[in-house]
Amino acid sequence: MSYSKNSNWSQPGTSHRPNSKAIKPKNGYVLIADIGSPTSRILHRDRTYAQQIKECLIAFIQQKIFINNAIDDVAVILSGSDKTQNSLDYKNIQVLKNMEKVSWETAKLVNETVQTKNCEGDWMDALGVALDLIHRKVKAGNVYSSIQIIFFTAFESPFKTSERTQKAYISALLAEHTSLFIVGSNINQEILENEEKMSKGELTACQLIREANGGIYSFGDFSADVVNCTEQPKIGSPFNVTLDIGSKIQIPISAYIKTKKSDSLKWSEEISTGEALVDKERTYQKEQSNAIIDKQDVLTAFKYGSRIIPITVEDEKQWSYKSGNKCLSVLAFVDPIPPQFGSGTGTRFIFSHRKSGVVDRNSQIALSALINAMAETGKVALVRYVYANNCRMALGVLSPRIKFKYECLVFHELPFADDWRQYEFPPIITPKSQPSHEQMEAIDQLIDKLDLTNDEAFDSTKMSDPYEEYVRHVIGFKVLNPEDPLPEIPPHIKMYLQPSPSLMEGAKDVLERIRQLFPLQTTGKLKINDFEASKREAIPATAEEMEREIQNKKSRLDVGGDVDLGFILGMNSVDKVGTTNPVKDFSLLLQSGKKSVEEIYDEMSKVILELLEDSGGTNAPLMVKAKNCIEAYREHSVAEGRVAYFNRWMKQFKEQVISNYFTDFWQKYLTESLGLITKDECPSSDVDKHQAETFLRLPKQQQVNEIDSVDEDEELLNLID
Amino acid sequence: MEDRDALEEESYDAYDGRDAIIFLIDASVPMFKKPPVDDIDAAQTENDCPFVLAIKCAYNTLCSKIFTDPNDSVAIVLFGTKKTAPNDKYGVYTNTFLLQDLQNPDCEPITQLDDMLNKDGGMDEYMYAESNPQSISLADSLWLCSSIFSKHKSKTDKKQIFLFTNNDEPHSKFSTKQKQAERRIGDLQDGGVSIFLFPIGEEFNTTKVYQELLVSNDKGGILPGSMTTDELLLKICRKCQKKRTFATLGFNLDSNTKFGVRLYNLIRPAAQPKRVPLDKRTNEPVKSVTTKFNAETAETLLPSELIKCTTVCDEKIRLDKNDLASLKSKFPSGFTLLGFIPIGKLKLHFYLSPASFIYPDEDLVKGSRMIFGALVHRCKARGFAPLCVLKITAAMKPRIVALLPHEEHDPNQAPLFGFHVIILPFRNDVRKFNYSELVESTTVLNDERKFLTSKVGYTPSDYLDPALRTKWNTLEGMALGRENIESVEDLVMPDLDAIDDRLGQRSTTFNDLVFPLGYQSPYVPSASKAKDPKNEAAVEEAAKNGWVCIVTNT
Repeated sequence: MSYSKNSNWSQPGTSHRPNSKAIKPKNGYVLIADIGSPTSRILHRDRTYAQQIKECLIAFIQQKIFINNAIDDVAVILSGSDKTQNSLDYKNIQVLKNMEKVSWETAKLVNETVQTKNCEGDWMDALGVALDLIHRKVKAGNVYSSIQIIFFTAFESPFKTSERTQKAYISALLAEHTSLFIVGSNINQEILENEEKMSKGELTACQLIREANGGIYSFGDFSADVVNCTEQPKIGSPFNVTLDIGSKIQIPISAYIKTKKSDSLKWSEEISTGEALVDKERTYQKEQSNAIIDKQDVLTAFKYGSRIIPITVEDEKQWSYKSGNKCLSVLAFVDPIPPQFGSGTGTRFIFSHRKSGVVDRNSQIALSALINAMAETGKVALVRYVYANNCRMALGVLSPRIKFKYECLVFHELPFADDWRQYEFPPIITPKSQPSHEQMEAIDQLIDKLDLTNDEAFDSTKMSDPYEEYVRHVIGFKVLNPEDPLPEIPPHIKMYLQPSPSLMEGAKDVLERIRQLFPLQTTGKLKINDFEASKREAIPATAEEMEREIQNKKSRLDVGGDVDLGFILGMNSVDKVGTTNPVKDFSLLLQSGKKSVEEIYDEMSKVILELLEDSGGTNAPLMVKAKNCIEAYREHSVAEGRVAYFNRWMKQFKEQVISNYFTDFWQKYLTESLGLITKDECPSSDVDKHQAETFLRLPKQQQVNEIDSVDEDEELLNLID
Repeated sequence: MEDRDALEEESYDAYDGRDAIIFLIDASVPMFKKPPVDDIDAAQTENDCPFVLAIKCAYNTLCSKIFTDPNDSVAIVLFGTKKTAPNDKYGVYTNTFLLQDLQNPDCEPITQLDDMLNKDGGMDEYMYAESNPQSISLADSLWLCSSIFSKHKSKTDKKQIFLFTNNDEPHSKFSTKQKQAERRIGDLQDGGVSIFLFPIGEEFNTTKVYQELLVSNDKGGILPGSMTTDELLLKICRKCQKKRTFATLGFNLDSNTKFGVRLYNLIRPAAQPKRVPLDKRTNEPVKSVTTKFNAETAETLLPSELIKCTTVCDEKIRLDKNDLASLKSKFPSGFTLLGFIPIGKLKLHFYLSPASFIYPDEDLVKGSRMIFGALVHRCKARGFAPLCVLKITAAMKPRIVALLPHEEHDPNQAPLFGFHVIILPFRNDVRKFNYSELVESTTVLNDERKFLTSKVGYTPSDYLDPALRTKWNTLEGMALGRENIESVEDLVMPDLDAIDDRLGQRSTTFNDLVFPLGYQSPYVPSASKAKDPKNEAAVEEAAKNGWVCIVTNT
């Protein structure tokens, strides 16, 4: 193998191509997965070695899809495959995917193919194939800013090597600036220090890495590295202007965005049934008649009380505020401004002017003088800020920032009077209401126990945005498993949003003390709040509340569904009490007055029986439905004074219940109060309380659980007496 | 005692969609006395009698409410007048004159007050103040107020009375009239009306009568004595701002300990005057309707026929709308404590978006006030900030926030006790800089640093937004048919002359030192009209950043 050492490999930015903007530096990756028969061994949690490799491969490919604009090239080679497929014709080595722009197809292929095969592959052969692959790609004119071979193997299959081969490999690795990484081997720190413990394969690999470049990873370390699918954005184009102090001092500067909320993935709308795109059109209609008005006849206006002021675009341009030319002009030097007064969408760092990569020295000296003077006097500058000629004007602040590596001015916007609300929040700790000494002490202890001063874990600027990570996780999951339900939040993302368990464990006693010292009682208000502001309220934190929330939502949904359906299907035109929604039909019919009340009552009683028969005396939901019907029927009868009619039916009904062995239903649902209508409830009744009680009791021989029921009945009677 | 404090808080915090405000203005003789002119300077700017001051306040309130809260209602009642206008709606009250009935801010009331203030003799009609102080009855005017409120259609409004007077003793302490007034105030407060006293004049002695009248109740209060319109306006402005809770949330210290907080947004861009589409031919308002249809077949689509999709690396991923929405709600809402961090260690120079503010909510969890108070107090004393995970609403992502404790004791400021919620950026919100490309090693300039001159500190109330105010002024002028529309003073304009003066020779010295003779600035400002591609790119970037240009179609 001969490798021409031409200098196609180059540093990003110094490319020989005329327009460096068009070509972004891409990286090349060759993934080699050992899927030979030894990989069937179980690692942990019932996963085989091969499965673990598969997960790593997919995670890696997914990451490359989401970062660096998916321009990186990825190749996948399987060692120990049952197929032989490579240009060097090495046995059991399969090039699953040639070195091409990373794609979901690669991930899908890996998902389908990678599993233990009943073969064994020579890992040195596989490495040779990889090097050959890289060589061909580079020769074909591909420019990589870095190339990595990532080899997943435990060196458990036999292999052949010689000093000559190793030398050739090393020079090949060096020639293309390729690094070699070994993942998932048994090599750890201890073994590294003691070469005698190494297997032959491990030793050879270590030699290669030492001579060329690379490293050794465990599966865990590797996963942690590739799990993040969001990246830190790079520097954007600057806002160039002069920083003016009065009319005489003008320092040319370049302001770069330093922080700004990252963009989420964009979601567009599509038609659920097909792939067709959705178009939107805005039309104007008359308030009452919905008649469409031609767009040209529409004018915008402002409301001033009851008066409407029509205004044309030209007019508005004429009188609206003119912010003037773009500028960054000092208004005054003031004391530092508290952080809560930040406004706008982010922070800019201001450096001296830089044109086509060259920093203007003079302006840097001027800016540096200003930065240092501000830092020394402890002042910040209020500025007028206009981004582009006649664009929105903002009030801003420049604060000096001096670091070892750089110095700059930090810019962010400030609110105007109109943007600031001065609500009153009266003090809580007053001479009248003061926490006890113990309470204060407990809080102090909590601060001490949960002190993050030396804990870097919760530096947000080192964390990936958990939601954005999760969305990408879901997308990756959906591509590979389109039919499965959405995955839960994976632990590595959840971790960002939870206090460190060891810290919490250490603070357990203090937290317990606080719980005792500060009596806290949750009210039912949370629920009500949810209801009122259902759109704004997110789901509650604890599992229990989550459950309740789901229940809430369900019931809300049910109610809403009913109304909508009723509306759409024109439920008002109900003409009969049906079994689907009998109570509603019943009341609608009674309201409509289409039929006589007796007729509706009869329909209802039929439905009740029907439901009971369908339930077979065991189906609880149907029985509940029947019970609700009886309730509604009874309620209406009481309200309307149609006692005799109902009581007559009730007696009939009881007979039917007994003869059809629906005694369970009777005992479960009716014995409380759904019997005959009594005198107390409606004066026109001739049934007294005692009679009603007796009526509710079933004849003894029919009772299923005789003794219990008797007891219950007696208890009931006792209560009444 | 704690209960009472809680109650007080309740009255402040009750959610208010709309306000109904009565300006109850004393129009008795002392209100028309001009303040003594001791100071010539003061005389020139503020030479209004207290009555005019009060009317100005009402006028300004109406002028801003018509834009900010067009659905609020305002009434103006004068008392101590000789003139009593019999009114069919409310009946007759002695020495009380209903200047404006309770109504939404509109042109007529504003014009009426404008005429009173700016026309010659505009005030004369109301100058017939009752000369016999004995016949004036505060109770009667309060009675009228309660009738006005009881006849007001919208019952859910937050009802307030702003009482303006410079008479600290309308009735002697134990008089019958005082008793009557006391009773009326009690009735009003029972009916949910808050009464705020705006005493005019430094001499006003609140201990004489009013303290007992107003402070002994939960609702309302006395504001510190004021003299100038600006002072009064600032106070009214603060009172009129609607304390809107953005969210009520649980604050989890751990899984067992949880208290309730309310979250407020103190800094958010002011609302712009609303545009309404209009039919050009008839000037009737029209509604705008957006319809979605299939781009291929032009069929109109129902929301249920739509699905969300995104393309990642040439692969289309389609998700049900509800599924997509549910992704965010998989993260629990509220605050979760992570730990405490010294304020100095926070990267506060990485500002990301406006801060919020939290205050305890007893309604959610009883006992929240005490633990919250202790937390703020101890954090403040020790210079620590709680670090939390926060998710505010279902549609928002979880964020890491730092809570800055705040205890305000300055009587001139609105009281502020609680935590500022500062959103901290994630890794993907921070751009990566290669500083070596941005900064060259420099020779530091040693002298000439003393040219910095400092002014006062910054407070937002010093800077009105000139763009918004221009819009307001112009619309007001157009609506009221004014001939001359006053231009707005741009307070965010550097006073070049003053700065040049202050710098004097030093600016030349500075320039000589850093910019050698013949130095050509690398930055060339682009002319506004020229079709400069660079400028266009800048505009595009501005649009990307959500900074909408005021002027379009250049």
